[in-house]
Amino acid sequence: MTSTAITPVAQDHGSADVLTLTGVRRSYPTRSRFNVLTGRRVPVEWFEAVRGVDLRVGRGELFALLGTNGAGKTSTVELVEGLGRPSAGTIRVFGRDPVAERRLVRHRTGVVLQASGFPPSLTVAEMARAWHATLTRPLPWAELVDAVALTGRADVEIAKLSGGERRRLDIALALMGDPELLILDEPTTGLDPESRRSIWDLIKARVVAGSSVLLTTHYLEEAEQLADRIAIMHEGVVAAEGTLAEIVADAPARISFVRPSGLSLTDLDVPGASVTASDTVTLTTHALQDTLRRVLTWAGDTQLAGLDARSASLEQVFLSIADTQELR
Amino acid sequence: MTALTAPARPAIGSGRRRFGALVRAETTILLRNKTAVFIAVALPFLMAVAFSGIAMDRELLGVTLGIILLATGLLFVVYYTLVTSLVGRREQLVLKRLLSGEPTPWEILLAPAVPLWVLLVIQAGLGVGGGLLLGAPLAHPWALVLAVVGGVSAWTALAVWSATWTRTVESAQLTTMPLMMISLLLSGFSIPLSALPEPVERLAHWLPMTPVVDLLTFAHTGITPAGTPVDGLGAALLAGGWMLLPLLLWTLLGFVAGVRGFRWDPRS
Repeated sequence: MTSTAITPVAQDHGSADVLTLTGVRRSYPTRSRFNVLTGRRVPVEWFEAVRGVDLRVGRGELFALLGTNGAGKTSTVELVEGLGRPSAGTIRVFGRDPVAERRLVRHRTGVVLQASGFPPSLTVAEMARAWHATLTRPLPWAELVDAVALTGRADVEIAKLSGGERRRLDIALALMGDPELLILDEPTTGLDPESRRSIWDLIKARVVAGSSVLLTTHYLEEAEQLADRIAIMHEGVVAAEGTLAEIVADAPARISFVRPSGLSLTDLDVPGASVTASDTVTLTTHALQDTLRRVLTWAGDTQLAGLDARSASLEQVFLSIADTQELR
Repeated sequence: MTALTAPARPAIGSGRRRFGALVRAETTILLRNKTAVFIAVALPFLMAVAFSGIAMDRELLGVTLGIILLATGLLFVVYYTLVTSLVGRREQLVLKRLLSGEPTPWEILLAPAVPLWVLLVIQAGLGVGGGLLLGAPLAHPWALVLAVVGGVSAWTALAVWSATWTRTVESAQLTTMPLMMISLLLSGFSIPLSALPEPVERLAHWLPMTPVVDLLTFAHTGITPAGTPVDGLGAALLAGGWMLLPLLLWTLLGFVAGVRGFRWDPRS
């Protein structure tokens, strides 16, 4: 982890958690009949997108929810946003139900939805002003528009903005209510590296100011850069959860090099490591430093071509979760 | 950026400020949509020209003018335009965005209706005013208010309800057709209700447009749908209340079914 190790600040009456999910499930009707008299759809078949998720996000913490497409990230986050009710389990935002007690929750959260949802014919300034007027304790709208570098585009219709500009406007509106909890659903998907960096900076600044963040992403780098804790979702459940260090702790490190012609592999004594050799020798180990020292001792003065030694990466863990469970 | 530890800024947000902002944004969006503006502004007047040939003398023409402008206004300005606004906003995911913020569901659903209400009141005012200039009588002015308020509530509620089963702006032309056709045919301003079989005629008075026509006719002529004049304010108010009743029921039904079944997300 590179930055933002934030210690929790003020406690909220005993609980440091701004968000808790307990046994949360969410089902969607896949087939439904329409009743004209009541104007309601009566579901006949269901698909369970979220299958028992437990999560908590502490005050001042940036929590990243990772997952492949269709893992259930957005379905979960929408429940936190109060856009739907879970079919089972409970969700508490600041200790409140985000649907039934929306009035007590909404002014403390800022949301970036997966799709922005802007009326295309309004200008940036009109949208910012209108949104500003819907907020309980808004920050000056022009400041936020400036913070996302859209001041020069203030009078441009939203329909004419680029994807990156639209996303930046999205972030500006989410921050405008000075939220204690930011909920960001794939905020940087489809953005160029520069826009992504500038959005990361805004998010980091928010965390430094004491806000908590729930972020979904399928960019592993984004989670590595920003998150205090990470959960990897797959097929509707949380497959791994913890700090980056905790998540990669159980996964082995890896050493590889081109098989040297003048040395015998039988002389290589690396207890606890597994060795596979063809043209390239690969060792996986839970004791990277010790194994590497033994490899270097074994090699002596021989140059090991293509020598590469690396700790377990989030990518490795992520891919193994995605692979193994798909085989079921 | 701001620090959370700073003393809380005063809460300036209020329901009125929030709703006002949504109404203002919706008005801007409506005025920039040329098709919607044409339907909302020009169509009722075209209908007035088309239908006014039915009435023979000036006095009757005066009454008919108000009826046609109010009725077609309710259908095209309030009902059809609101259905397309709500469905369009849902397709653009604007409704979902608003629902994820502080606006309440009621504020979100009613904000796009407000500029349409204003347009309708202007049109109805022009229709009725023009009618009075043509010499239409005015027996019970308060019944005009009942007709407008009752009609606006019922057709706003019906629009919310219709939006629950309308998936796209294009399909709104189809989904709004049944109520529009029934209202054009069975509310007494294109075909006289007396020309219909008795049971149909009686049923027609419980449809969501006929009571508007009844109330407006009553306001001008003082004659109830049963064809009898009413003496005294008490009896007139009672008669007006009876004509308003179906509109209140449609309002209740439309909002209960509409709000309960409303889909905020095009994918749901």
